[in-house]
Amino acid sequence: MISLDSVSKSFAGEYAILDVSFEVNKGDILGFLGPNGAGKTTTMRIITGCLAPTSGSVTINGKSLLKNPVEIKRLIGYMPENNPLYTDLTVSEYLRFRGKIKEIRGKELKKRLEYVLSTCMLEKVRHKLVGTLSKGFRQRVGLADTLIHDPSILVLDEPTVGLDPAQIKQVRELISSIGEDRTVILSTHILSEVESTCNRVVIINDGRIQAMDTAEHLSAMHNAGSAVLTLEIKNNTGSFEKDLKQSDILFTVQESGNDQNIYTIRYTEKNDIREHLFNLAVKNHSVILQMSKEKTTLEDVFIRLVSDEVKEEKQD
Amino acid sequence: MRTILVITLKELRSYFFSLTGYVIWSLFLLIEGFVFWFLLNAFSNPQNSFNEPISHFFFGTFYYWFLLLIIPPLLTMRSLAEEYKSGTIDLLSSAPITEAQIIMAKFFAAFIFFSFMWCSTLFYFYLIEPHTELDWMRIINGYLGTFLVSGLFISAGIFASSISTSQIVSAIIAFAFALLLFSFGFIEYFISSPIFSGVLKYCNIMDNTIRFGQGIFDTRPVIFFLSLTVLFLNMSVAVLDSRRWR
Repeated sequence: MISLDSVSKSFAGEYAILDVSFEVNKGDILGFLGPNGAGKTTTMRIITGCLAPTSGSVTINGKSLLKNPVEIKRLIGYMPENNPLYTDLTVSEYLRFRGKIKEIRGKELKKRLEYVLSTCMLEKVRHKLVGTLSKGFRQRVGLADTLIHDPSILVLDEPTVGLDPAQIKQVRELISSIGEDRTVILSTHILSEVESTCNRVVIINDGRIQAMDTAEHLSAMHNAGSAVLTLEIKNNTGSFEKDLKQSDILFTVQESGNDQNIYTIRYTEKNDIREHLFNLAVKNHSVILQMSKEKTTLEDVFIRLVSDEVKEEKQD
Repeated sequence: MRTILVITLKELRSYFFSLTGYVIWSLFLLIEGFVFWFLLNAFSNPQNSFNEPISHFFFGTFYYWFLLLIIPPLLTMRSLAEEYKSGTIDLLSSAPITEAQIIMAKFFAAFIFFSFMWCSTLFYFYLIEPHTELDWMRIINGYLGTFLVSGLFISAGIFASSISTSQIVSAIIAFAFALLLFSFGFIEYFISSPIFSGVLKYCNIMDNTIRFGQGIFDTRPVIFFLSLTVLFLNMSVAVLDSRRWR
């Protein structure tokens, strides 16, 4: 278990993160979400012991990171931002070197090496120089490196950045599968990544935590009771639109064709108007081709949280 | 200890497998070869008389000192600066190893590579062995002195590399350190106070090394060089550690 207690870090007097506290339990895949420069990397470097916090404390499995750095680092697999690698070694040389400095030796190392090469699908390139590999392969080498010593905690800083969609999918699946029996913290500014891989989300902006919950809860919480409908109507005689206006319904015309119109309709969840819309259509002899309710995505929550912050700052 | 060995071997590998390593080695052999040829010519001229031929090879020429001042910065400039720049330092910092282990490994790798370069000059003695009588104890003593000075300049280079993210800047700083250490003892000639000049004489690197070339094994210079080397390595560890707190 990882626990951060009011951790702050300042660089040359300016705070990169301020009063960050959260806990991650075993089996959690925690998504660390925030715009560029929000403090994601700083937080991750603190958790992995690459940086020392200015104030606050980090405890991992009940032990202080500051007091037992070497012991705790054995438990962590860290993939730093931009995935730095030693490019003058071949893939297997690199992984063997990394395994050795993480105190895996002999037969155990051989076993782990074969395991990570096959898990990360690197068998084909094992004898190639890391420097000659494509970005996707390098990313997998980075992941293999984090796994070589079988750590119980994985800290991945933007593991899918710069990959093509197919590779992103592969890496996400890989993270989901290796994360089953470990604690994973992964940072990203891609929201769909968090929605598809993480069971918990921390949203950070400007060095402060803005929200912390499951992705579904966050979406539900920040829904604020408003909903959006897309409505497609056939046999539009014009009277349907008139009736909409008369019923005080907020709508905009998305598309209007000869006989077909698409509307975007906003309403409050408390006051469900779907039935009323159906009746209006029947009354006007219009046919409903489509009526779909849009879900508030994490993206909306994120943008709202981040832009709220910007608004507040402007007011200050 | 095993961790130090693992990192040292990896660093040595990049010296032996990189073009830079061989360019530096070639430059070294070119200059040393010229010195050897030049000295051999001078010695074989019956008009000249030399008391200590071996000491000339080791500490007696300008070129010897040129190599000692210029090569350690070239070997050490990338050791930490490159790790900072490419971000790979985080790979080491997040592994279960200490800063001291990282510094020791970097030092050993550069030192062993430089020692290999010096050992390749043993071939010259092998060449002249059939034609003259060689005092091997004196030669070994000469190499020992060379290794001690090399160690000191390499540790200064590692320190320079630990304080900069640019290889060029760290090479320049390392060269400045080496030059400063080298010329510090010369202040002795300008000072009349007997106490100060005594201290400065002890710090005179050239004075300390000449004795090795003369076949005299003195523990004072050994302690002098080793303690300065340890000092620079300790400072490098402190710098590396302080990066986490900045």
